[in-house]
Amino acid sequence: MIHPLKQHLLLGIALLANSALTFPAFAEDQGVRDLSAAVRKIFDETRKAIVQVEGTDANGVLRCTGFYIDPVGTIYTLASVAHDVDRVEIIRGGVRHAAEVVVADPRSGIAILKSEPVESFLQPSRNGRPEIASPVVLVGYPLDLDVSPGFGVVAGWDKKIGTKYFSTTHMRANVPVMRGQGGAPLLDLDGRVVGIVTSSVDGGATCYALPIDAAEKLRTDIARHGEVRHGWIGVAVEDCNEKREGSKAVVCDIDPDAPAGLAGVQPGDVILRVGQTRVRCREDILDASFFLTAGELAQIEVLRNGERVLLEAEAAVHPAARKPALQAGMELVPRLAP
Amino acid sequence: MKENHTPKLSEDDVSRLLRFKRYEMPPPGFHEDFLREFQRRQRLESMRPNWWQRFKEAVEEVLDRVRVPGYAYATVGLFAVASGAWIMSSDEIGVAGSQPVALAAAPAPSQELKLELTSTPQTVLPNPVNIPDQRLVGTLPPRYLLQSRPASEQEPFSF
Repeated sequence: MIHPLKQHLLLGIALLANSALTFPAFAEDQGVRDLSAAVRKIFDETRKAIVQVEGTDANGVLRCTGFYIDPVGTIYTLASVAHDVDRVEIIRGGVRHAAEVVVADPRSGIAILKSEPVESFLQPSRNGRPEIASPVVLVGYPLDLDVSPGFGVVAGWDKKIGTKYFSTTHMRANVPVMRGQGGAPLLDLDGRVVGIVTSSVDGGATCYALPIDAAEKLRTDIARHGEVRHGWIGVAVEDCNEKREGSKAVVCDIDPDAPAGLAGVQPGDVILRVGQTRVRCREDILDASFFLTAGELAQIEVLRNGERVLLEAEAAVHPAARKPALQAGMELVPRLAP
Repeated sequence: MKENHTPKLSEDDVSRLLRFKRYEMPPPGFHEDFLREFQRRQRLESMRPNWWQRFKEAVEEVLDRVRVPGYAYATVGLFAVASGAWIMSSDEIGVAGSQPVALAAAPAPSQELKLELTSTPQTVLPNPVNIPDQRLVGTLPPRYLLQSRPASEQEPFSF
């Protein structure tokens, strides 16, 4: 016969042991529930700002996703839905609205449209580029289905795939995507836009997104100059064997009549920084180039004979955008010889 | 019970019949020529042409008597070629006829026998092939966009 006091003691120990064993499972379950609730909250709050974009040309109808980025009706979407089409419409809440193509930029792969003012719009993230493994939420229109959420994490920041270099660094996110979700926003858990889905990888298991700061560069250009102005200073770069001051990007060719040549950049200079972009190797030139704006001064910090030199060059129009520049009457600078 | 009516032969009748049968003989040489005659008839039967061969022989006999000139064969051949060409051109017209064709209005009864043109002839041209019918554009399923990779830079290390 066990003493009643011992019985209560044994019962208490058993309950404690049971709680200790089951608590992690409860905690994991609660974590998933919290995450699910967060995704649902983001989806419910943002879905009204997500639209379907439809471009029509002589060959048929193109359709993808877009989203409002401000209350005056500015929409980000894919360039391919708005480039060289007869008309563009947006479908919001089952109702079609006319939209105007402000720019369809092939270099970035996105387009900016203008429609009527709205109440629901998304805001770009101001927290910088999210770190790898940060959670992201996708909200877009797959195929002819209704707007749908997706969830994943940032898997990497890539400058190329295979032998193809991107125009700027892209975010690779482990979010499954389907056709029609091009142009959809990738959101952080605060519901702020961190990227715009442009392409799929490996059959849609993963996606690439243009970082929102790269897209905002275009919108800023339009706000300041009325058009997108990709800049160019006329420098060719290669990697040297050893890093100096943290960089191995060396100027290998330069046009003396180009902005960089006129600013004093010389062959053999090690490039340390262009504008706000820190340069460590030649691949960093992609971002440095993308964020140059034609007609604006760009600071170029180089290492020459062991000393840091700060130069300033007024960027000219990027060769890929020279035809529009001709129409805008901007000054042209000859290209470097290949 | 049925009565048997067969006449009863007397003994004299039977002996007379036997004598008669004894003198019933084939003509002379019948047995010697029998086999030869049988084989001759069999050979004749096997060599006799059938009706088609006989008809063919008759036609050939007639044709041998009638001489057909060379230009007759040429005329028939020319006619066959012309007929073939006409049939082919009729098919092409049939395909073109599936296109919309401007039909002339039916003539009034008073003009039925007049052969004058009542309207300016119209030329029906096919639609250009590379321009889709605008009526069909709305019926085509949309193409849902998602690029295969991000936009690439042509000269990545020149800026």
